[in-house]
Amino acid sequence: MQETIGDTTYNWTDVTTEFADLCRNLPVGEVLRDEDFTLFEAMTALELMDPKMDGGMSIKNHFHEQKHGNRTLTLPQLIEKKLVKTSSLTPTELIHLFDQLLSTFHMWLDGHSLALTLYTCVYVHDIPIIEDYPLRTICYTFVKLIDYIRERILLKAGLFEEEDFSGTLTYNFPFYRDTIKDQTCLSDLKKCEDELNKRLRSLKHESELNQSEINATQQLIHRIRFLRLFFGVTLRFNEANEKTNEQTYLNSEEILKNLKQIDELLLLIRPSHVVEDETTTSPDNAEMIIPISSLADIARSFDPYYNYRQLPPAFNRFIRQLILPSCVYTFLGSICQQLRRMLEVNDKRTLKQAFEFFLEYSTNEKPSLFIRSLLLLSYLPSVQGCLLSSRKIFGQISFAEQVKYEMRLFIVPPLLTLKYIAIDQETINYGENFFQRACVPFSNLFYSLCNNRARTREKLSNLLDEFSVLQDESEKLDQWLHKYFLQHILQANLSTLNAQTLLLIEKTSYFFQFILHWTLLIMEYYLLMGFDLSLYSKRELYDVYFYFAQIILFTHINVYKTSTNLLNTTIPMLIQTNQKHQQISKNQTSNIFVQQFSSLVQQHSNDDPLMDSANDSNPGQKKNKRKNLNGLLSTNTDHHEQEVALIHGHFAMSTAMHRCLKALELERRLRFSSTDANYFLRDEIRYRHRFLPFANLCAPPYMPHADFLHIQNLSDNRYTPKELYQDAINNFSQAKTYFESYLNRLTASKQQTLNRTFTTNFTSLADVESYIRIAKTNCVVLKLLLSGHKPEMKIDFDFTLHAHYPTLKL
Amino acid sequence: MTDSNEDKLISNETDAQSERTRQKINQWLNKPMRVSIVDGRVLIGVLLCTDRDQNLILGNCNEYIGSPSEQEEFRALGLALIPGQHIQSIYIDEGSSSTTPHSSNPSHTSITTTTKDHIVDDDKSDD
Repeated sequence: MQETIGDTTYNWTDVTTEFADLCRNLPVGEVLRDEDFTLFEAMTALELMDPKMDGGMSIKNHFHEQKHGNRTLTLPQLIEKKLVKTSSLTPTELIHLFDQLLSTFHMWLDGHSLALTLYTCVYVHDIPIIEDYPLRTICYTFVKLIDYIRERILLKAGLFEEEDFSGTLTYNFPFYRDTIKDQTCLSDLKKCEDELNKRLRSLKHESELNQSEINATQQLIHRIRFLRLFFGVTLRFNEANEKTNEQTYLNSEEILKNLKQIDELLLLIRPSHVVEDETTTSPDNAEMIIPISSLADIARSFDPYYNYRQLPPAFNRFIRQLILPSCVYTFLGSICQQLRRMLEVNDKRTLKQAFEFFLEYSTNEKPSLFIRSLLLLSYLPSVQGCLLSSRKIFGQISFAEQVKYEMRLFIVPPLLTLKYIAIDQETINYGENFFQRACVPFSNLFYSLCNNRARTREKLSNLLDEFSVLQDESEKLDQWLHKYFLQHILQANLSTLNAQTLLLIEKTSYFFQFILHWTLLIMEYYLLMGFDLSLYSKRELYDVYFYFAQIILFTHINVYKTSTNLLNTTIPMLIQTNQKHQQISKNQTSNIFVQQFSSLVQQHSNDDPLMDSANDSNPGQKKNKRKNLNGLLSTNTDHHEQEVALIHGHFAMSTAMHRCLKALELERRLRFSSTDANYFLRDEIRYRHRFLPFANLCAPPYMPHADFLHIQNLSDNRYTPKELYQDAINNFSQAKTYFESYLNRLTASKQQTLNRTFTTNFTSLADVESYIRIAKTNCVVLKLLLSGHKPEMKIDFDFTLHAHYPTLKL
Repeated sequence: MTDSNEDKLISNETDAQSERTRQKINQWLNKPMRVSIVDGRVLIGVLLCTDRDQNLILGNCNEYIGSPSEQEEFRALGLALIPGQHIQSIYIDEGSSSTTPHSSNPSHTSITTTTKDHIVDDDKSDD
């Protein structure tokens, strides 16, 4: 038998039976193979007829049809055979197509391939052929919308993972980039809308009212309007750097207005619902019933197998049934909701607030890739060819400035607060160099937070390496500045300064403390994320809580103490110095660092610890702000008050946790067996694995496992279970007190927190409420255990109340 | 590995029949093969490997629906394993020598390069 396939001609010999007979002679287990072919390679072979591997198998029916001549036809072929129509589509048909397209769009956003979603619609493969104006415009807009999101949002943000988003592949599908512009789509949609409105009016004036057609036209208008607004909103998120690379703030007012309009439209749109039986009616009129008979002319407009041959062989070919339009519209409603919440990022004026917002947003909203990408682009709009670290926050504030400002807020270093000191070039270079370096890890931090959670955790561990470098740098800078400032302040010969304050300024490593503060925040979030992702085994809990409490939180408490102390003692002095020098230097700010972020300070003078001096030139404002300032300065513990309360709460919680874990272990009340021979070895490996990201940091110093065991002996092992229980109870009730006082303060000072997220550091309001309940429950359980309740009873942990801390289950 | 395997097999299995089988099939290795499977697909590729159950591994394999000569469209699979139980018919092109592109020496490198060719093919078919 001769057969020509492509350019090759084969002389086939039928060996079916011969081959089978030959093979039967082979002994079991023997493999005959080409000598260059290894079995290892065989592992990579695609197994045919395997339901998971062989995509071709899942469309068996499809190629049976193909065999009978019903091959997949291209759009021109379909038109030629009059199988789809491209002109004068009825409103009902258009509505159906629109809803189907929207549904494919939704699936695409969900991470499915373009070839299995939007491009299963035969129309979009050759849009110019379409004669019907509304349909053509709708098709163009969907293609453009997807192209825009893909190219300008998802690829630009670069947050997608290969395995969860195949939507970036294009398969050379047409995107009509040269022929149609985004703006043309918007204006075309508007034209469609106007034309349809005209038609609607004329329909209403006809003598014989065709109610169903009026309804359909109205619904179509809503949909087209919706599409126009949605596309408009999407465009706006990247609008600023479209034209001249000039970046501006997000026009959040405009976006909010559009989102509101979209919401209103979504209420008006009744999702289509195709039914086979024409007599079916929607019970509450919420859905628009379309009998299948009215769609006969466009029945072949979607072909799930249209692009089938273009997909790589091992591609996941599972084609999901298109989602019901009603679900799609609900989904779009929730997207708008998320976008609206996302715009709040615009109010976050400090890095810490932004950090808190990013955490809160990702916890509460569980944003999809699309939204996460938008969030990153809104916070750090990207310019072509611009490194992440040189991007500007909201396209306006450079990271170096923001970091300086952040540092000034946190710890008031003289370098960034004294307005009228002259700084020599070397120091300026030194300082500037440090801030430029700091841009990289800080911008990476925000980038990391936009990734999916598992990836965020991984990125945070890498980030700690960068921070460890920054810690070294900051130490050096501090040493340099010590000498510098002591000299300077002595020269200034300020009689009012007391020696103690001077000594404090001299002794403080400002830069180091600031970087340490952020390092600790990342470490804390990193460990807690392990709980969120339920990574820790029960056996590890002790290690994790111990490390969390005794090393990380303990250090953090000290950092906060230092910062608070500095804020309380040195601010009056710094203000005084500034005032004194102000008269001498006639308001000319000579400190180049202060000059740089003076605009930042003016914008949010409310938050600024030194705003007294900043406001001197503006006596009108002074009165209002005085109040705030007095509020800030009158109570000495006011700085970082909420943060400190929370950190103490966490500290008490995790101390209590590891104490009671130890007690339970001693009493053999834990459910896992510790008789394993390799127990210690494995523990050590696990320990190293868990805390490896912390190993390179110079502060807090990494605790090797041997030291850990030693310290554990000193702190927990020498007590009896009863003592440990008692201590755990005390700590739990302490934690409860801390958390409650945090809640009280938060509610009392609501006015001040208007601009803030309800997350402080990494802990949200909802978290705190759960923590309190956990502490209460555990206190009760531990009291029972202390009294010797059922000594044989094993204790289990329940993380349902909150992932971070378990409740003990009797 | 091949040597030790063969040594063992020869020492264990003296049956001349199975030795003939080996010789025959070894001749067929690297020859183009056309396999139809029960669901109507036709697979064309070079024979690389087989065993008692007639499980086949074809290199540089293309999948056709129905008769390959009537269709331009195919799916490039690369390395494919066809379980013996699904095989309906087997044809072989004995005349074809290993110099033709289809049956070039399917060593590791050539397989990878041919798979790369498939990727190129895929890209072309996108147009």
